[in-house]
Amino acid sequence: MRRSVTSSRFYAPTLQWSVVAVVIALWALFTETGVVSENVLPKVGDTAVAAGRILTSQDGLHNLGISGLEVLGAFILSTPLAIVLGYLLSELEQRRRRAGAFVQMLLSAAIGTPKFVFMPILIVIVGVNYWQKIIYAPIEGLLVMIVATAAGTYAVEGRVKAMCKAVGMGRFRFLWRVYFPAMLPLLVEALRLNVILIISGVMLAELYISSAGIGFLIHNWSTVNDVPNVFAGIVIVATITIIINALLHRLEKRLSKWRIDA
Amino acid sequence: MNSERSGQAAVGPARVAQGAQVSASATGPASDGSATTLGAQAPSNRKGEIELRDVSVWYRKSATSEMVHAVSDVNIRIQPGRFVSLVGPSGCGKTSLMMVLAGLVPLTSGSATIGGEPVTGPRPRSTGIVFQDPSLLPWRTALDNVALPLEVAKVNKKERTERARQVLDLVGLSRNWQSYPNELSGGMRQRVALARGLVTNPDVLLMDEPFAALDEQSRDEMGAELLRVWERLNTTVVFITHSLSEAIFLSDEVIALTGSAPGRAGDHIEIPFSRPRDLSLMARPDFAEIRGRLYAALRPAAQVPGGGAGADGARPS
Repeated sequence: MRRSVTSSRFYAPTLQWSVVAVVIALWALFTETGVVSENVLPKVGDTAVAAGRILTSQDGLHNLGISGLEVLGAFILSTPLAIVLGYLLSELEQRRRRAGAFVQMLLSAAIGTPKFVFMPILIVIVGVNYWQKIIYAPIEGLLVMIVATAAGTYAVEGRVKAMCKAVGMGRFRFLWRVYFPAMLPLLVEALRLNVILIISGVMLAELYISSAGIGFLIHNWSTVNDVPNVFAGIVIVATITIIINALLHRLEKRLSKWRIDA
Repeated sequence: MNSERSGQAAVGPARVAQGAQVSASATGPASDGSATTLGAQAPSNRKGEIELRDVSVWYRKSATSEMVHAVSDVNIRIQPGRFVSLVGPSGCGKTSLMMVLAGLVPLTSGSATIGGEPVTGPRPRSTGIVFQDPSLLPWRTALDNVALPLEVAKVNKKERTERARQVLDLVGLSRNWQSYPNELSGGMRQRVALARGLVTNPDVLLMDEPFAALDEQSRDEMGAELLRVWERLNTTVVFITHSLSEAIFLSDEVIALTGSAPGRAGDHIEIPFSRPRDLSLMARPDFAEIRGRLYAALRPAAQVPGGGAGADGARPS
């Protein structure tokens, strides 16, 4: 048993790194042999140099910092709001079934609607600035988090509620001692999705119309056909997203240990 | 406690009192009109005394909002320190009565008292509860689960840890106090739930089919284990079960609930076997005889149209 756990711990990262190595090798193969034009796919070396330049230049770091702050701002703005709204939704579903079902229906419709079509309206309202991105970016994740939080509250079964009531637990203590720990793994999972969706939202907003941020730089480079810089920007954003995702996934697994049945 | 129980427990025929009025009080009248002395050497205080008088419970089903008449005009009196089982078909209101005693479901009419005080809400310090499902918090260790009622009661950490470990030791889990629920077997989880119910040293322990989810062998073993624990405590136990054998083996008295939505208190049967008891008791002819009587007492309920599965097993939420 110990052996197989150790093996899986060893093999999972090895496999992941192997996939990365294979992708880079194929990339190098296609570009070095001229199978793919450099106008479409730059050489690995050129991309690496461009990435190094972005990560060391003042302009590159400034724009990365702006995108990072926008992601952070959107995250801080949306997460507590989503948790509170998700909790209220679950309460509504339990107390007023029909009203809860109606709100769920509205949420499903909202999740299914492409939010990007509202970007022009948002620009008309707030203009082209940080707020346009900070407001737009969390919309997608916010809806997903509301649904995930509401689902998380169902992790606490009625019998556990009865037990807590029987041992004299008050409402606040119940929320803090029971609801929150029960929901935590689902919340972290939702947070992970939320961060990814926020990064996507910020990138989309920056690529669409913006005056700063890494997405703005990528868009500018693409208009002058600076392919190595475009790819370097993409690689940097993808790497940061993958690292954040991996860290949150690790946290999620750690918090979910008790969910795995013996 | 043991001498008290063995003193009242000469082996003999079960005494069956007919009628809806059920009394197990020390000097309360049986419905046959004779003054009875059940568990005559009861503790002088009334701490663990339970009395339900003319209790009726209606509740609204959460799924359909339909009103259900769970129990009607139930009168039960249980003296302190007794082990009393409630048996009856599904939907006869056993769980509703337990929820009333736990203060989790309000009475529609009548009165419920524990230790002479009306039950108006949960009484965590004096009433322990063990549900059919262990209802453990999976992110807490066995020790932390057991200590939960003490934590809620704001007992300091050192004391609650000490008391929780003592109770875990009592239920035979001294080695598993650091285990999480997913690392424990079904029987062990139920022991943790039992320990949680006992950690406040309650006057009354309410148990709602606590071993129903276990296989037969584990169930018998848990029953014997429960008796071993109970015989060391001065706790009144109200035990709900579908198993007549389990009820007879464990109890001083078995109360049959009949009917279905609403259920009513029917016969009560005094169990005459001495304590301590062991599982071989179940093979004795007099055990079978009592089982037969109990079965007969419940049979009319099974013949009620829709009885047994009545009220589709709905329970107050």
